[in-house]
Amino acid sequence: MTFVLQLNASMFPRSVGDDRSMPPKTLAWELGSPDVVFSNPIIQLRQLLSSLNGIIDEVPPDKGPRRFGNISFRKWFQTVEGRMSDLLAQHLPSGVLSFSTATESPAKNELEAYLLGSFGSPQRLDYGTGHELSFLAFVGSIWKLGGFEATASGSEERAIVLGVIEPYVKRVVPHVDWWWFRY
Amino acid sequence: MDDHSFVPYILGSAQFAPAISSAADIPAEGSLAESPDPADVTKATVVQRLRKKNMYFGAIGFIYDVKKGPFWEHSPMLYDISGVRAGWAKINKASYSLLSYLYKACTNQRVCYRG
Repeated sequence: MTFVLQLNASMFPRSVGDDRSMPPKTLAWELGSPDVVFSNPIIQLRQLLSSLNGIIDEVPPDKGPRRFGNISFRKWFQTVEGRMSDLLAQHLPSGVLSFSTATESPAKNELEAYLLGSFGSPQRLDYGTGHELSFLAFVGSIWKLGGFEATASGSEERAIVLGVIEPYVKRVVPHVDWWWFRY
Repeated sequence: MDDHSFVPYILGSAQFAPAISSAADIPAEGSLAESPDPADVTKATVVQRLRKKNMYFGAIGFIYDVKKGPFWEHSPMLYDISGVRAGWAKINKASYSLLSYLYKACTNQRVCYRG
């Protein structure tokens, strides 16, 4: 949760300028803000999310009745599961993936599990808070392992919000919801 | 929040919270000058205008896309929050607390279920 706290703090508008000058300037962080620059790790994660979305085109949702969820989600999920290892190797720093302590398996295993857990349950065909937390754990683990750039207070965290969290919320979640057609 | 998402509400309310000079100064209430009234989530035109810039309204916009009927009926928690008078910082604090609580509940079980 420290990670979420940092993300949260980064999104508060910033007051810049000292007290002796004219009223301080306020910088707010809107989606699509040109003041927020995406570092290479963030660009890589955006491409990873894009690839996951692209798999939806390969395994499109069934058109039949969807009252109890869409079985093709399971197909999509299996496809993603099969490609997960390659996707992570392609888009995450190798130092992060291979990180391990003497008693634990490499971080890659945990990262795979977190990311796979971000899209809902293929068994229950639903999506809940736990899945969102899983995605935060995925990004947060990369953050803890030094996979992002170290910048002035908040700016990389801000870019993570606008560049990674936002696409997940905006594109992945609605796609997943559309499969289940819960509404 | 009534269904399954927390993060856009936390981060989106932060976007409209009062400006700070450092992360140590996070306020417990108040709003950014010229930010919308939290009650505006019930106004479709405002939501459509703001959803592209703000994560809170983006999430509300998605609800508008997929749910029918009165807002208070399909999203009672969000509707209650829209009545908060103490500003977006207060909404931010409350959303974050809710997520913290759920996080603890989640990590105490092996699997986290919907809700």
